[in-house]
Amino acid sequence: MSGRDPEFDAYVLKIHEVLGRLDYYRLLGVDRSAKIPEIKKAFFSIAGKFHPDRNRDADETVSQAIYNIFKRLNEAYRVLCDYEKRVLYDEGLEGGSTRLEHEGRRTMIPKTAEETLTSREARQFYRQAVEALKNGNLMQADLHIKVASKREGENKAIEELMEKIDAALAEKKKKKK
Amino acid sequence: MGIAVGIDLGTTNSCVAVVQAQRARVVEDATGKRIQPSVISFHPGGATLAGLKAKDRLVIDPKNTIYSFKRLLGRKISSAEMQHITKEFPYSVSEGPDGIPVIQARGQELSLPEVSAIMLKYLREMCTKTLGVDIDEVVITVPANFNDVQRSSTKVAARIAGFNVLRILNEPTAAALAYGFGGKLTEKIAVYDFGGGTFDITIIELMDDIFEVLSTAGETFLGGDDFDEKIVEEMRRQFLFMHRYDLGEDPVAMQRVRTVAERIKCQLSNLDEVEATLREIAYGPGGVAIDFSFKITRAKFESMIESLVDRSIATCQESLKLAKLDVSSLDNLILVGGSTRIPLVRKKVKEFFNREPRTEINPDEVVAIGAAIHAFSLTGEELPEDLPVPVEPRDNADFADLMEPVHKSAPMATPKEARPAPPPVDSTQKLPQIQKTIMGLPTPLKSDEPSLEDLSVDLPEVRPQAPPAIPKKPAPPAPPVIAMEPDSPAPPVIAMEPDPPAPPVIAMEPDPPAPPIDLVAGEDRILPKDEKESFSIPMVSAAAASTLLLDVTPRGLGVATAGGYCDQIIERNAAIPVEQSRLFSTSTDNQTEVAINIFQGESRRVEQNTLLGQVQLSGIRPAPRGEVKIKVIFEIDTDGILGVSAVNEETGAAQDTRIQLLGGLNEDQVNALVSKYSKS
Repeated sequence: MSGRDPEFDAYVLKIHEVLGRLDYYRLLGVDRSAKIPEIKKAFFSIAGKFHPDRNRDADETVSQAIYNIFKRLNEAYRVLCDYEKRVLYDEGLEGGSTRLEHEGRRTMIPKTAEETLTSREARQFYRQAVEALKNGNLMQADLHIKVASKREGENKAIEELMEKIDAALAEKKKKKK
Repeated sequence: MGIAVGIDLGTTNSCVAVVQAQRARVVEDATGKRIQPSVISFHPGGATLAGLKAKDRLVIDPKNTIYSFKRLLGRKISSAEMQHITKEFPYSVSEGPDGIPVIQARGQELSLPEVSAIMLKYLREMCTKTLGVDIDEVVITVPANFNDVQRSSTKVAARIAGFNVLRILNEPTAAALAYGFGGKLTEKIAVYDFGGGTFDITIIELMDDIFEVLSTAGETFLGGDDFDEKIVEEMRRQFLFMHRYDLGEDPVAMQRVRTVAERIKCQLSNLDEVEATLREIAYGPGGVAIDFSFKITRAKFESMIESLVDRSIATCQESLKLAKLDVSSLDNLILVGGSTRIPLVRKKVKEFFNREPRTEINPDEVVAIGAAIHAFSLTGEELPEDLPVPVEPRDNADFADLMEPVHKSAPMATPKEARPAPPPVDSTQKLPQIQKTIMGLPTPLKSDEPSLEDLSVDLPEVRPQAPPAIPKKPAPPAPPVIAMEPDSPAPPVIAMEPDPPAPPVIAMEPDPPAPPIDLVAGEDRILPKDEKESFSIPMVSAAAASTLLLDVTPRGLGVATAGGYCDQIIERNAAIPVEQSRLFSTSTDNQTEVAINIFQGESRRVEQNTLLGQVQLSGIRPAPRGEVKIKVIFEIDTDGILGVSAVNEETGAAQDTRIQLLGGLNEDQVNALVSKYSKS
C-alpha cells in the first residue's frame, strides 16, 4: 500500500454523507432490471475498493465511513441477490424507502419480566409470587418463586424476584428481633 | 504495522506460521517440532509449562495438566455437553461467576481465556526464539461455528498474551486461502474441517481474487476427542469385565488409557488391528501388578465412530442446502484437521462429495499457513529472507524421523543433518518446498523428574498397509489375572497410585518388542514409513496476498419477544460486517429500564436457541408506555463479534447500553489479566 489517494478519501466521505439516500441499485451502480451475475460482478468490483481490509491505512474518520458504507453494500448485495427480499425491497422502494427495513420499521414491545419465562407453569408461579409479595405474604412468595425457579431453570427475572423476597424476609426477621 | 503471524489455536494441537520471503513457513520450536500440543501444566515447583513439556505431564500430574481447554472456552458450565466432558476431565472444572467454567490447578483458579492466553504466550515466545524478532500482531483462527462469546474469548486470550489481534479468521476460510486458489479462476470449493474438538463445513466461491463464503455449518462439539473417548470407554468396559475394577477410579490410570487410546486411534488409520499393553495399570490382591492387553480392529473402531462421522456428513448436506448448491456444482474439496486422516472419514467424505479430496498441504498446518497468508495480506509485511536464526533444509516427511530406529536417533540433539527433499507430490503443481530444519529426536526434559525417563513406550514398528501387519488370528484368551475360586467372589482389584507412575506400554503381541521410543518423541502421529506424508507449502502468490475475504456469520441472531418467541434480527450466513436495527419501546408506564435477551440460532422458539446474553437500556425518560422509542443497532464485525449500540429516537442521543454476555469475562476482569501477564 503506497499512500492513500486523497481524492478517493474525499469521495468516500461524500458517499457516506448521502448513504441514507442511496438505494441499493444506485449503491451498487446497477440497473433496476440487473440480473444476479451482473449484481455480483458490480459488488465484487466495489468491494475490492471499499472493503475495510483494503483500507487499513485510512485515517479514523475515513475508516469509519468505509466501514459503514461496506456494511450497507453487504446489505444491498444480500437483498438484491435474494428473490423474495428483492421483491419486498422493490415494493418499499416505490414508497421511497431506500433500505429493506423490516428492521427499524416494526416497533417491538420488549417483554415484561414475566414474559422472559419460557415455561407456562413457571409464569403462573412467578405471577403468584409477585402477587404474594405485594400482599406481604412473604412465605408464600418464597415458596412460589422457588417452584417457578425449579420449572424454569436459570432466569434473570426469577433471580431478581428471589433476591427481593429474600431481602424482605431478612428485614422482617430483623424487625422481629 | 509490523510482521504478523498466523496462529491456529487448536483443541489438541496448535501451529504457528509466518510469511517469509514470499513463502509461508511454519514456525518450529527449538527442537524442530512444527505442531505444539495445546496443553498447559502447572508444575508443583511453580513453573507453568506449555506445549510438549506440558503434554508429558499428562500422565504424571493429570490434576494440574490442562488439555482440550478449547472445548470449554466461552461456554456456560451448565450445558449438557459441558457437564459430560468436565466429568471426564482429570482436572477440576467448577462453576465461576455468571456460570462460566473455572479451572482449578495448583491451588489457583483460572478462567478459560487465561488458560488459552498461557498457551498463546508460549507460542509467542516460541516465535521470538525461532524467528529472532518480537511478534506482537496476529491473525488467530477459530472454528467457523464458534459463537460470539467463543470468538470474543479467543480475542481476549490473545490480548492477555500481549497480541494485537488483526483478525479472528474462520479456520476453513484460512485453509482455502492456504491452498492458494484464486488468481483468475472461478470455482466453488468445499472445505471439510474435522479437528480435535470441532467440525466445520464451509462452501466458498472464488472469483478472481475474491473469496466469498457461501455458507458454513458445523458442530462445535464433534471431533477427534470424541473418537478417543469411544476407545477409552471400550477399554474401560473390557477391563471392568476382566478384572472387576473400574479404571475410572484412578485418574493416573485413566490418563494413561486416554493417551494410549489416542495413539491407537492414530495407528488404526494405517493398520487393520492394533494391540496395546498397559503394564501395571492396576494392582491386584497383595500388590500384584496387573497388565492390561487391549486389542481392537479397524472394523470395530469404525463401527464405534460411524454415527459420529455420519453426523458430519449430514451437516455437509445442510451447508450445501444453505448455499443452494448440489454436490455436482462443486469444483474442489479440501480436507483439514487431523481427524480427516481416519480412513472411514475419508471414505464417507469421498462418497458424499463424489470426488477425490485435495490433501497436499498437511492438514495439521494448513490453517496456520492460511492465517499467515491473511496476516501478510493485511499488513503487507513479511519476514525477510535473511533470518537471524539459520534454517537448514530438512526432509519433508515430518513424521519419518520419529520412526527411525532408536539407535539412529538416540543421540539426542544430534547436529542438524541435511537430506535431499523428496519430489513434490504433484508435479503439475509447482509448489516449492519450504525450507525446514532437520531434527533429531527432541531432547528429553533435563529436569530431575524421575518419571520422564520411565515413560518409555514400546512402539510397534509400524508396517505398510498391505499386507496387514498383524496376522488375523483369533486372540488368545486373556489369562485371568486373579484366580477365581468357585465359591468366593473374586477380591476386588485394588488400584494404587503408582509412585512413580508405571510406564505405559504399547506392545504388539506377535512381534519382538520394538525398540522403545521416548514418549516425548512418540507423541507425534505414528505413520508407516511408506505412507509418509509429504506435504507442500504453497508459494504466496501476489494473487493470494491481495485476496479479499468475504466471510459470513455462522448463526442467526435474534431477540426474545413475548410468548417465548424469537425474532430473528441477523440471519444465518449473512455476510459480515453486517448491521441491523430494531425499534424498542417501553411496555409499562414510567419504565426506565428495558432488558433485551439476545439469542443465537434460527429457531422461532427461544428455548431451541442459545441465550447469548442481555442488553440493558437504562436511563429512559419516564413516560406512558410505548411512547419512548429506542433504536437498538446490532452489528457483527469482521471478526464475527457482536456489538450493540442504541439511539434514542426522540433525541437522537446515544442511549446508555450495557451488554452482558454469558460465559465471557467483563472488561475489568480482562484488564486485570492483561496487566497480570504483561508483568511476567
